[in-house]
Amino acid sequence: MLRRFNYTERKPIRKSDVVVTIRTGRNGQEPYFDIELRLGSYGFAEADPEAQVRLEAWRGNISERWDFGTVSQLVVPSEQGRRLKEAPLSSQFRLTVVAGDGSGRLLGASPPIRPVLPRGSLLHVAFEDIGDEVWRVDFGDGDQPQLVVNNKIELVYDIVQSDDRFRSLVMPQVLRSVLTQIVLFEQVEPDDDENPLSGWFNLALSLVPGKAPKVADPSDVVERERAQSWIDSVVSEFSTAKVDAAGVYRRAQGVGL
Amino acid sequence: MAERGPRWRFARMIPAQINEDPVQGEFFTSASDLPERLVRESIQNSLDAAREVETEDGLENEQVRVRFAFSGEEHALDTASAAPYVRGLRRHFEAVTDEEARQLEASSAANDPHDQSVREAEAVYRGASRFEQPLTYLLVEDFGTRGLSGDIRANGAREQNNNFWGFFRQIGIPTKGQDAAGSWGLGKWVFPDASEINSYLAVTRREGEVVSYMMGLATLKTHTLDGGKYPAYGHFAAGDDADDTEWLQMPVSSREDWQFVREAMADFQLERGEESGLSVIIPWPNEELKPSTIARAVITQYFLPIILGVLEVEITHPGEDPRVINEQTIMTEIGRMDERDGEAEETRGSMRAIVDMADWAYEQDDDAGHLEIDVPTRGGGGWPSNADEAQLEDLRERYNRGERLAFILRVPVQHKSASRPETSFCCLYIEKDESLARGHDYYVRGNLQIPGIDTILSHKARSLLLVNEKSGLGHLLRDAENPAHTDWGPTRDRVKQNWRSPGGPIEQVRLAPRRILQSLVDRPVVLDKDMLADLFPADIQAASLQEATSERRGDGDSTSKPVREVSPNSQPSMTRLESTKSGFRISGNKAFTLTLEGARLKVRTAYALARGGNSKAFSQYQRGRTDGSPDFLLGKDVTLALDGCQTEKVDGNEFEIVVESDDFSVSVNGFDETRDVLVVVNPIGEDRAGVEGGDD
Repeated sequence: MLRRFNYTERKPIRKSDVVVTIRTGRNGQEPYFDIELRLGSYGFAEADPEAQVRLEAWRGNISERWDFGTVSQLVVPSEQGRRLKEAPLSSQFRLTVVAGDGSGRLLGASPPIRPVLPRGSLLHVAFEDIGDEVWRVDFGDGDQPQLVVNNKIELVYDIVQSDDRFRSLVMPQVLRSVLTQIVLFEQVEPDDDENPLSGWFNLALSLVPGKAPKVADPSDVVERERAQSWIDSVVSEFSTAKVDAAGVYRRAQGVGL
Repeated sequence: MAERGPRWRFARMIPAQINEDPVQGEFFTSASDLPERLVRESIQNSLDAAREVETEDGLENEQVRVRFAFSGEEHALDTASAAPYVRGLRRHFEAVTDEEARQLEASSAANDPHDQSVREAEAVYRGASRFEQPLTYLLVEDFGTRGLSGDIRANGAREQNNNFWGFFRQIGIPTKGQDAAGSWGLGKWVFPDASEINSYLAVTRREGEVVSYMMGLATLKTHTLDGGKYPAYGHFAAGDDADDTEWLQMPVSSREDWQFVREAMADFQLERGEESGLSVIIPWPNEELKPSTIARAVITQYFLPIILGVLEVEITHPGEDPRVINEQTIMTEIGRMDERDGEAEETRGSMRAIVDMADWAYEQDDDAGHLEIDVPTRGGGGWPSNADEAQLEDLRERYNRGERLAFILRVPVQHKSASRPETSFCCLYIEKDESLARGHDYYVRGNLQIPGIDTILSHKARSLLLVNEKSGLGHLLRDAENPAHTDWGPTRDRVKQNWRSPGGPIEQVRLAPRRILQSLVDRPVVLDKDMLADLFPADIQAASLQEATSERRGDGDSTSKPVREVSPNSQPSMTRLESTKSGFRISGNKAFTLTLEGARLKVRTAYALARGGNSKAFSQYQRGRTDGSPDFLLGKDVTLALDGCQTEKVDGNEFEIVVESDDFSVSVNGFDETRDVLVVVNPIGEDRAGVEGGDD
């Protein structure tokens, strides 16, 4: 029998309330993390508004720590400040809430948290100066499509990463452009696993199970309409399941988008 | 026997002499940039010839004053008064006119007003007609200068540093040192260009001498006259009986013909007096040359030496208020300046802005005010190569706030005579200006603005790049300049002859404003490969899709969760563990269906670690004990209270008990209340797996 006794009445913070996601560093820089914190239900702010919120990462003897301000006023460090300069990608994380009186008493702590590690994305994002356009899909030389976003727009990284309104409006159309290109223009074989674009079929089929269409003869109206219909259904499911496009838009309308 | 007295003379060509027309520009025709060229070349020559004076800091150049004086109709010389100064020229000019007429007659383009030959013919006719009219002139005089120094009799194939020879007796052969602004030996051709009879007269008095010399040069075309063939070039010179084959053009000397020189100086209203310097008389100046166009050219091209007090320019015309352009008056004169269409960098507003910027630039402390940047000399090198992202972000913020930024660019250059590269420097100043439709960049080598470089058109910004003409980079760029001094290019012959790997430094310096602006204005191009992995994951495998598809089709129950199998023979734990104020209590579990009497239990404790597993916590206790500083000792720091059981062993962080009653209990207290305590209770001599019921 193994028991662990907590004498400080420290509140355990649920893993689900601390979501740490590792992001690949841009242009070869160190990786950084994004974090979602939900501490409102623990009553920390009421008990000690000055309590400090800290995130630790460790692996073996290597550790790093980041301060997130106080429970009553969370301050998320900049992307530069959230880089993993020492801790490796395989680190575990732990969130602590420490009394604001300097005693070091733990008011809350999470168990070790495995971060969400970077997943490869089918769509890389290039932030470039593209004049007065906001975004475009660049199909380049047929290798992999790329979403190009105007880097002159303020806070554009955050917008692409987490602005629901931007994502709900843009991403379905991005998917439509890519699938249209692949299915109707490049006529990629859906069953050709060797094709670098096959991942897009896998993504589409995860949304709409079944079989992806193959357009053997682009001049065949029936084939084209069937493919277009399939693309519509995939984009529709994507809009619902991935970005809640209509819902986000309606909510945005309510706050004056 | 030749005529006596000063006159124009063309030496008859010998049979073997090659026929040649001048190729320095569009002969006899006007070009829209004539005022700019005249100002650029004349002032450049004057600044190169500045007199030096002793100061506390050593030798320094005197301020140079250049005077552009138009005669207008009011001070024009009537034909009789002008005769001594065109004597001998007219008949050669008319011979050229006749040649032009004959050629035009034979040309199929005679009726095309845009044809080069037609335009030349018209210019020649216009020039020929001038001899019948009063002689108007433009006088360009400099003061604070040394005059045309050098042996007036020298006429070798090369006459280094002989400015007299350079001005009258060579074409395209440089005579100036490396530090001079001009270097092509062609600049003086702007003087005949500026005259409708393609000729000029000049009076020079050299520093430290009491004699003045007067000479002139005409640049016509190869022509025939009285059965003889004559070259394009003729000189106004002292009378000389020598045969053409022996003749060397010599200036009219005030020592030998004092009256002629004195009268010429009076006729053309020279202010030279006894001061050293050069006065150039441009007869019948091209109509593009006006006080306003000269003033504009002075301000746009030489604002820098003017605001530094190095140069003052005076422009007079009988019909207009005189203009004096110096460091005090330049802003006022910019207000009077004509603007030209299509010259956005040279509007009144633009000039005020760049003058203000240049003023500011010279107030910056070299060390404290500038950020030093290594200029990459190979293509593809990052800009700025030695500035980190934090510095760049700071610069971006300052730039976007509208602050002026100052840089010192370190540029390695290597002359072929040097064994290793030297690090040379130039200064760059940049500011944002949202009011500009396109970017304005100004490049100045020494005192000379190089107007033909435009690299920041896509930025709403202003830049000023200053190159010390006496530095290695200044010498390289001087070699890289085109004859008109309007651009820098790496393919000039002298660049290739004199410099190792010159292309990189030249191009990078040219592009420096743009490169730095790009790093300031343009956010760096960033590629993020996983930002959208939540929406477009790349790790969905076809195999898993089959499973998912099957599940969705009802082949499996996708909502069911794995359920831990429970053995029908499993027993609850034999003991209970409870927390107390500073420790814990072990007692028998009523739910355990067997008796505990006689059972032997082993209890181990340790403080939990914030990071690391339980085994690491116990290991840490052992390390502390081995080091002589255990976290606690059972039976000492931490007390044991037994009921219904006996201890068999107490050692550090563990103890063993023998249970005597099913109601037994062990209370363990005295732990640090700010730390978590781990407790492991195991029966001794039984299968562990069978008795560990769970770790609530």
